[in-house]
Amino acid sequence: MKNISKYFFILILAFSFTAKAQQEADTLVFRPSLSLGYDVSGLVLNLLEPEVFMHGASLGYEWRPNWIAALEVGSMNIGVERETHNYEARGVFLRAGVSYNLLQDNPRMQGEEIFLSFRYGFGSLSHEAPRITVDEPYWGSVEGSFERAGYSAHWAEIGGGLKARLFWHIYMGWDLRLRLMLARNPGSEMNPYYISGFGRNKGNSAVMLHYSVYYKFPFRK
Amino acid sequence: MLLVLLAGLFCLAGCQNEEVCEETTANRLRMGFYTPVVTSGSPTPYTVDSLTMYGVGRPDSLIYNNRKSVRSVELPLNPTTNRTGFVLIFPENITDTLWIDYQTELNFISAECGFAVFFDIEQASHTNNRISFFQINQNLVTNSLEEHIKILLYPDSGL
Repeated sequence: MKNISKYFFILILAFSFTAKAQQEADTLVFRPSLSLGYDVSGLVLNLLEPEVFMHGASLGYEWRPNWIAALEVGSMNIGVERETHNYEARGVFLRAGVSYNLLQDNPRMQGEEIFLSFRYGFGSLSHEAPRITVDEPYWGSVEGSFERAGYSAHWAEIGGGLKARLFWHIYMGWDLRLRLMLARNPGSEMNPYYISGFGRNKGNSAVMLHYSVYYKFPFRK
Repeated sequence: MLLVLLAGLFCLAGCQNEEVCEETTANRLRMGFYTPVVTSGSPTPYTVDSLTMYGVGRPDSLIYNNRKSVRSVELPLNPTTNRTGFVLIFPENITDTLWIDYQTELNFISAECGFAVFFDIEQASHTNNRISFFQINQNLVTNSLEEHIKILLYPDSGL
Protein backbone atom coordinates (compact mmCIF):
# COMPACT_ATOMS: atom_id res chain seq x y z
CA MET A 1 0.00 0.00 0.00
CA LYS A 2 2.75 2.35 0.88
CA ASN A 3 4.59 1.43 -2.32
CA ILE A 4 1.57 2.15 -4.44
CA SER A 5 1.03 5.57 -2.96
CA LYS A 6 4.74 6.29 -3.39
CA TYR A 7 4.58 5.33 -7.02
CA PHE A 8 1.37 7.30 -7.34
CA PHE A 9 3.06 10.33 -5.92
CA ILE A 10 5.99 9.98 -8.30
CA LEU A 11 3.57 9.57 -11.20
CA ILE A 12 1.67 12.71 -10.25
CA LEU A 13 4.90 14.63 -9.92
CA ALA A 14 6.02 13.30 -13.32
CA PHE A 15 2.71 14.37 -14.89
CA SER A 16 2.89 17.81 -13.37
CA PHE A 17 6.42 18.23 -14.70
CA THR A 18 5.46 17.25 -18.21
CA ALA A 19 2.37 19.45 -17.98
CA LYS A 20 4.52 22.43 -17.07
CA ALA A 21 6.96 21.67 -19.87
CA GLN A 22 4.00 21.40 -22.24
CA GLN A 23 2.74 24.79 -21.17
CA GLU A 24 6.12 26.44 -21.80
CA ALA A 25 6.30 24.84 -25.24
CA ASP A 26 2.77 26.07 -25.97
CA THR A 27 3.70 29.75 -25.70
CA LEU A 28 6.38 29.32 -28.39
CA VAL A 29 4.26 27.15 -30.67
CA PHE A 30 3.36 28.72 -33.99
CA ARG A 31 -0.24 29.80 -34.50
CA PRO A 32 -1.67 30.54 -37.94
CA SER A 33 -2.79 34.10 -38.52
CA LEU A 34 -5.10 35.84 -40.93
CA SER A 35 -4.75 39.39 -42.17
CA LEU A 36 -7.05 41.49 -44.28
CA GLY A 37 -5.64 44.40 -46.25
CA TYR A 38 -6.79 47.29 -48.39
CA ASP A 39 -4.61 48.57 -51.20
CA VAL A 40 -4.24 52.33 -51.03
CA SER A 41 -2.12 52.68 -54.18
CA GLY A 42 -5.30 52.89 -56.28
CA LEU A 43 -6.25 56.08 -54.48
CA VAL A 44 -2.81 57.56 -55.06
CA LEU A 45 -2.95 56.69 -58.75
CA ASN A 46 -6.32 58.39 -58.94
CA LEU A 47 -4.75 61.62 -57.72
CA LEU A 48 -2.36 61.54 -60.66
CA GLU A 49 -4.78 60.06 -63.18
CA PRO A 50 -8.25 61.20 -62.19
CA GLU A 51 -9.91 59.13 -64.87
CA VAL A 52 -8.61 55.85 -63.50
CA PHE A 53 -10.11 54.22 -60.40
CA MET A 54 -8.60 51.11 -58.89
CA HIS A 55 -9.48 49.20 -55.76
CA GLY A 56 -7.80 46.20 -54.24
CA ALA A 57 -8.15 44.05 -51.15
CA SER A 58 -6.00 41.21 -49.92
CA LEU A 59 -6.28 38.26 -47.63
CA GLY A 60 -3.21 36.61 -46.16
CA TYR A 61 -3.14 33.39 -44.23
CA GLU A 62 0.08 32.36 -42.54
CA TRP A 63 -0.43 28.64 -42.39
CA ARG A 64 3.09 27.71 -41.35
CA PRO A 65 5.87 29.85 -39.94
CA ASN A 66 6.86 32.56 -42.44
CA TRP A 67 4.76 31.21 -45.28
CA ILE A 68 1.70 33.20 -46.16
CA ALA A 69 -0.93 32.07 -48.64
CA ALA A 70 -2.28 35.20 -50.29
CA LEU A 71 -5.31 36.17 -52.29
CA GLU A 72 -5.86 39.61 -53.84
CA VAL A 73 -8.98 40.84 -55.57
CA GLY A 74 -10.01 44.16 -56.95
CA SER A 75 -11.64 46.23 -59.61
CA MET A 76 -10.83 48.96 -62.08
CA ASN A 77 -12.92 51.69 -63.64
CA ILE A 78 -11.76 54.06 -66.36
CA GLY A 79 -13.63 56.89 -68.02
CA VAL A 80 -11.71 59.07 -70.47
CA GLU A 81 -13.46 61.94 -72.21
CA ARG A 82 -11.53 64.11 -74.62
CA GLU A 83 -12.22 66.16 -77.68
CA THR A 84 -10.81 63.45 -79.87
CA HIS A 85 -12.17 60.37 -78.15
CA ASN A 86 -14.13 58.66 -75.40
CA TYR A 87 -12.78 55.53 -73.77
CA GLU A 88 -14.50 53.51 -71.04
CA ALA A 89 -13.34 50.39 -69.31
CA ARG A 90 -14.26 48.38 -66.25
CA GLY A 91 -12.60 45.24 -65.02
CA VAL A 92 -11.81 42.91 -62.16
CA PHE A 93 -8.80 40.90 -61.16
CA LEU A 94 -7.72 38.02 -58.99
CA ARG A 95 -4.19 37.32 -57.83
CA ALA A 96 -3.16 34.30 -55.80
CA GLY A 97 0.13 33.05 -54.51
CA VAL A 98 2.48 32.91 -51.57
CA SER A 99 4.64 35.32 -49.71
CA TYR A 100 7.69 34.33 -47.77
CA ASN A 101 8.74 36.24 -44.68
CA LEU A 102 12.48 36.67 -44.38
CA LEU A 103 12.34 37.79 -40.73
CA GLN A 104 12.64 34.41 -39.09
CA ASP A 105 14.59 34.93 -35.91
CA ASN A 106 12.07 36.19 -33.44
CA PRO A 107 8.59 34.67 -33.56
CA ARG A 108 7.48 37.45 -31.28
CA MET A 109 8.29 40.19 -33.82
CA GLN A 110 4.63 41.09 -33.66
CA GLY A 111 3.95 40.01 -37.21
CA GLU A 112 6.40 42.41 -38.82
CA GLU A 113 7.70 41.17 -42.11
CA ILE A 114 10.22 41.64 -44.82
CA PHE A 115 8.85 39.44 -47.50
CA LEU A 116 9.16 38.12 -51.02
CA SER A 117 5.94 37.66 -52.92
CA PHE A 118 5.05 35.36 -55.77
CA ARG A 119 1.72 35.55 -57.51
CA TYR A 120 -0.26 34.34 -60.44
CA GLY A 121 -2.65 37.01 -61.67
CA PHE A 122 -5.73 37.04 -63.85
CA GLY A 123 -7.56 40.12 -65.08
CA SER A 124 -10.73 40.48 -67.08
CA LEU A 125 -12.24 43.68 -68.40
CA SER A 126 -14.70 45.07 -70.88
CA HIS A 127 -14.07 48.29 -72.74
CA GLU A 128 -15.41 50.45 -75.51
CA ALA A 129 -14.62 53.63 -77.41
CA PRO A 130 -17.98 54.95 -78.54
CA ARG A 131 -16.54 58.04 -80.20
CA ILE A 132 -13.22 58.40 -81.98
CA THR A 133 -12.03 61.23 -84.18
CA VAL A 134 -8.61 61.06 -85.80
CA ASP A 135 -7.43 64.28 -87.32
CA GLU A 136 -5.83 64.10 -90.74
CA PRO A 137 -4.90 67.67 -91.67
CA TYR A 138 -4.56 66.98 -95.42
CA TRP A 139 -7.46 64.69 -96.23
CA GLY A 140 -9.84 65.32 -93.37
CA SER A 141 -10.74 63.65 -90.09
CA VAL A 142 -11.92 60.10 -89.80
CA GLU A 143 -14.62 59.07 -87.37
CA GLY A 144 -14.78 55.67 -85.80
CA SER A 145 -15.74 53.69 -82.74
CA PHE A 146 -15.06 50.41 -81.04
CA GLU A 147 -18.04 48.49 -79.70
CA ARG A 148 -17.96 47.15 -76.17
CA ALA A 149 -15.83 44.04 -76.09
CA GLY A 150 -14.07 41.95 -73.51
CA TYR A 151 -10.39 41.37 -72.88
CA SER A 152 -8.60 39.11 -70.46
CA ALA A 153 -5.03 38.30 -69.61
CA HIS A 154 -2.96 36.35 -67.14
CA TRP A 155 0.51 36.91 -65.82
CA ALA A 156 3.14 35.99 -63.26
CA GLU A 157 4.38 38.28 -60.51
CA ILE A 158 7.41 38.53 -58.32
CA GLY A 159 8.02 41.15 -55.71
CA GLY A 160 9.09 42.13 -52.27
CA GLY A 161 8.19 44.47 -49.51
CA LEU A 162 7.84 45.41 -45.90
CA LYS A 163 5.07 45.18 -43.36
CA ALA A 164 5.25 47.00 -40.06
CA ARG A 165 2.97 47.29 -37.07
CA LEU A 166 1.29 50.66 -36.56
CA PHE A 167 -0.63 50.06 -33.37
CA TRP A 168 -3.03 47.48 -31.93
CA HIS A 169 -3.77 44.99 -34.75
CA ILE A 170 -3.21 47.49 -37.55
CA TYR A 171 -0.28 47.11 -39.89
CA MET A 172 0.97 48.99 -42.92
CA GLY A 173 3.23 47.89 -45.68
CA TRP A 174 4.35 48.26 -49.24
CA ASP A 175 4.92 45.66 -51.93
CA LEU A 176 6.82 46.33 -55.12
CA ARG A 177 5.77 44.00 -57.90
CA LEU A 178 7.19 43.09 -61.27
CA ARG A 179 4.61 41.58 -63.58
CA LEU A 180 5.30 39.52 -66.67
CA MET A 181 2.52 38.83 -69.12
CA LEU A 182 1.84 35.19 -69.90
CA ALA A 183 -1.04 35.37 -72.35
CA ARG A 184 -3.75 37.69 -73.56
CA ASN A 185 -7.21 36.96 -74.83
CA PRO A 186 -8.51 39.97 -76.77
CA GLY A 187 -12.17 40.28 -77.64
CA SER A 188 -11.62 42.97 -80.26
CA GLU A 189 -8.87 44.90 -82.05
CA MET A 190 -8.72 47.60 -79.42
CA ASN A 191 -5.85 47.49 -76.94
CA PRO A 192 -6.90 48.33 -73.39
CA TYR A 193 -5.41 51.33 -71.61
CA TYR A 194 -4.91 49.53 -68.29
CA ILE A 195 -5.36 45.82 -67.64
CA SER A 196 -7.15 45.29 -64.30
CA GLY A 197 -4.70 43.89 -61.78
CA PHE A 198 -1.73 44.14 -64.13
CA GLY A 199 -1.24 47.85 -64.61
CA ARG A 200 -0.63 50.05 -67.60
CA ASN A 201 -0.84 48.13 -70.85
CA LYS A 202 2.54 49.03 -72.30
CA GLY A 203 4.44 46.00 -73.46
CA ASN A 204 4.56 42.68 -71.73
CA SER A 205 5.75 43.79 -68.34
CA ALA A 206 4.65 46.21 -65.66
CA VAL A 207 5.99 47.47 -62.37
CA MET A 208 3.68 48.67 -59.63
CA LEU A 209 4.17 49.78 -56.07
CA HIS A 210 1.32 48.74 -53.77
CA TYR A 211 0.74 50.27 -50.39
CA SER A 212 -1.70 48.60 -48.01
CA VAL A 213 -3.26 48.90 -44.59
CA TYR A 214 -3.89 45.59 -42.87
CA TYR A 215 -5.89 44.28 -39.97
CA LYS A 216 -4.42 41.17 -38.39
CA PHE A 217 -6.99 38.96 -36.74
CA PRO A 218 -5.86 38.08 -33.20
CA PHE A 219 -5.27 34.35 -32.94
CA ARG A 220 -7.13 32.24 -30.46
CA LYS A 221 -5.27 31.27 -27.29
CA MET B 1 10.07 56.30 -43.57
CA LEU B 2 6.45 57.07 -44.39
CA LEU B 3 7.46 60.23 -46.25
CA VAL B 4 10.06 58.39 -48.28
CA LEU B 5 7.54 55.73 -49.13
CA LEU B 6 4.92 58.26 -50.16
CA ALA B 7 7.44 60.09 -52.31
CA GLY B 8 8.42 56.82 -53.90
CA LEU B 9 4.79 56.01 -54.59
CA PHE B 10 4.19 59.34 -56.24
CA CYS B 11 7.28 58.96 -58.37
CA LEU B 12 6.43 55.47 -59.55
CA ALA B 13 2.84 56.31 -60.26
CA GLY B 14 4.05 59.51 -61.88
CA CYS B 15 6.38 57.61 -64.14
CA GLN B 16 3.35 55.94 -65.62
CA ASN B 17 1.52 59.18 -66.25
CA GLU B 18 2.06 61.37 -69.29
CA GLU B 19 0.28 64.68 -69.24
CA VAL B 20 0.93 65.58 -72.85
CA CYS B 21 0.48 63.46 -75.92
CA GLU B 22 4.00 62.95 -77.20
CA GLU B 23 3.20 60.58 -80.03
CA THR B 24 1.85 61.63 -83.35
CA THR B 25 -1.56 60.32 -84.31
CA ALA B 26 -1.06 61.03 -88.01
CA ASN B 27 1.18 58.32 -89.41
CA ARG B 28 2.93 59.18 -92.64
CA LEU B 29 3.88 56.98 -95.56
CA ARG B 30 7.65 57.23 -96.05
CA MET B 31 9.02 56.80 -99.55
CA GLY B 32 12.58 57.05 -100.81
CA PHE B 33 13.85 57.60 -104.37
CA TYR B 34 16.34 55.23 -105.98
CA THR B 35 17.87 54.33 -109.33
CA PRO B 36 17.63 50.73 -110.53
CA VAL B 37 21.45 50.47 -110.32
CA VAL B 38 22.14 47.86 -107.68
CA THR B 39 25.06 48.30 -105.28
CA SER B 40 25.66 45.51 -102.73
CA GLY B 41 22.21 44.04 -103.23
CA SER B 42 20.15 47.23 -102.89
CA PRO B 43 19.10 49.94 -105.31
CA THR B 44 21.16 53.12 -105.15
CA PRO B 45 19.64 56.11 -103.34
CA TYR B 46 18.86 58.98 -105.68
CA THR B 47 18.25 62.64 -105.10
CA VAL B 48 15.61 64.30 -107.27
CA ASP B 49 16.63 67.83 -108.32
CA SER B 50 13.20 69.31 -107.83
CA LEU B 51 9.84 67.84 -106.87
CA THR B 52 6.28 69.05 -106.54
CA MET B 53 3.65 66.73 -105.07
CA TYR B 54 -0.02 66.86 -104.28
CA GLY B 55 -2.84 64.41 -103.57
CA VAL B 56 -5.02 63.42 -106.50
CA GLY B 57 -7.93 65.87 -106.59
CA ARG B 58 -6.12 68.41 -104.42
CA PRO B 59 -3.86 70.43 -106.79
CA ASP B 60 -4.62 73.49 -104.66
CA SER B 61 -2.95 71.92 -101.65
CA LEU B 62 0.67 71.05 -102.37
CA ILE B 63 2.42 68.55 -100.16
CA TYR B 64 5.78 69.50 -101.69
CA ASN B 65 6.11 72.79 -103.58
CA ASN B 66 9.08 72.71 -105.95
CA ARG B 67 11.29 71.30 -103.22
CA LYS B 68 14.95 71.00 -104.22
CA SER B 69 17.20 67.99 -103.70
CA VAL B 70 14.61 65.53 -102.51
CA ARG B 71 15.88 62.17 -101.30
CA SER B 72 12.72 60.97 -99.57
CA VAL B 73 9.16 62.10 -98.90
CA GLU B 74 6.55 61.77 -96.13
CA LEU B 75 3.02 61.52 -97.41
CA PRO B 76 -0.41 61.58 -95.77
CA LEU B 77 -2.59 58.59 -96.61
CA ASN B 78 -6.34 59.17 -96.63
CA PRO B 79 -7.79 57.38 -93.60
CA THR B 80 -11.38 57.65 -94.84
CA THR B 81 -10.82 55.45 -97.90
CA ASN B 82 -8.70 52.44 -98.94
CA ARG B 83 -6.84 54.14 -101.78
CA THR B 84 -4.81 57.31 -102.05
CA GLY B 85 -3.30 58.80 -105.19
CA PHE B 86 -0.41 61.24 -105.44
CA VAL B 87 0.75 63.34 -108.37
CA LEU B 88 4.53 63.72 -108.66
CA ILE B 89 5.99 66.45 -110.85
CA PHE B 90 9.67 65.83 -111.60
CA PRO B 91 12.19 68.15 -113.33
CA GLU B 92 11.23 69.29 -116.82
CA ASN B 93 7.58 68.83 -115.87
CA ILE B 94 7.60 65.05 -116.22
CA THR B 95 4.56 63.91 -114.26
CA ASP B 96 3.56 60.59 -112.77
CA THR B 97 0.62 59.43 -110.69
CA LEU B 98 1.12 56.91 -107.91
CA TRP B 99 -1.73 54.96 -106.29
CA ILE B 100 -1.48 53.14 -102.95
CA ASP B 101 -4.04 50.54 -101.82
CA TYR B 102 -4.27 49.67 -98.14
CA GLN B 103 -6.37 48.62 -95.17
CA THR B 104 -6.84 51.00 -92.25
CA GLU B 105 -6.76 50.12 -88.57
CA LEU B 106 -7.63 52.23 -85.53
CA ASN B 107 -5.18 51.82 -82.68
CA PHE B 108 -5.48 53.06 -79.12
CA ILE B 109 -2.30 54.92 -78.24
CA SER B 110 -3.02 56.32 -74.79
CA ALA B 111 -5.66 58.26 -72.86
CA GLU B 112 -3.98 61.57 -73.77
CA CYS B 113 -3.30 60.86 -77.44
CA GLY B 114 -6.37 58.82 -78.13
CA PHE B 115 -6.34 56.83 -81.30
CA ALA B 116 -4.16 56.75 -84.39
CA VAL B 117 -4.71 55.17 -87.77
CA PHE B 118 -2.32 52.45 -88.88
CA PHE B 119 -2.20 51.55 -92.56
CA ASP B 120 -1.47 48.13 -94.01
CA ILE B 121 -0.24 48.59 -97.60
CA GLU B 122 -1.51 45.95 -99.97
CA GLN B 123 -0.61 47.17 -103.44
CA ALA B 124 0.70 50.13 -105.40
CA SER B 125 0.41 51.15 -109.02
CA HIS B 126 1.79 54.04 -111.06
CA THR B 127 2.27 55.62 -114.46
CA ASN B 128 5.63 55.06 -116.15
CA ASN B 129 6.92 58.45 -117.20
CA ARG B 130 9.69 58.68 -114.63
CA ILE B 131 8.80 55.97 -112.17
CA SER B 132 10.21 52.65 -113.31
CA PHE B 133 9.26 50.38 -110.44
CA PHE B 134 8.47 50.28 -106.75
CA GLN B 135 9.43 48.00 -103.85
CA ILE B 136 7.39 47.65 -100.68
CA ASN B 137 9.91 47.53 -97.85
CA GLN B 138 7.49 47.66 -94.97
CA ASN B 139 3.72 47.14 -95.27
CA LEU B 140 2.71 48.61 -91.96
CA VAL B 141 2.55 52.38 -91.65
CA THR B 142 2.74 53.15 -87.94
CA ASN B 143 4.58 55.67 -85.82
CA SER B 144 7.94 54.11 -86.60
CA LEU B 145 10.34 55.96 -88.89
CA GLU B 146 11.04 53.13 -91.29
CA GLU B 147 10.92 53.61 -95.03
CA HIS B 148 7.86 51.86 -96.43
CA ILE B 149 8.24 52.10 -100.19
CA LYS B 150 11.24 52.45 -102.50
CA ILE B 151 10.48 54.28 -105.75
CA LEU B 152 12.86 53.38 -108.55
CA LEU B 153 13.20 56.04 -111.23
CA TYR B 154 14.33 56.02 -114.83
CA PRO B 155 17.55 57.98 -115.10
CA ASP B 156 17.34 61.71 -115.80
CA SER B 157 17.40 62.59 -119.51
CA GLY B 158 20.60 64.47 -118.76
CA LEU B 159 22.48 61.32 -117.60
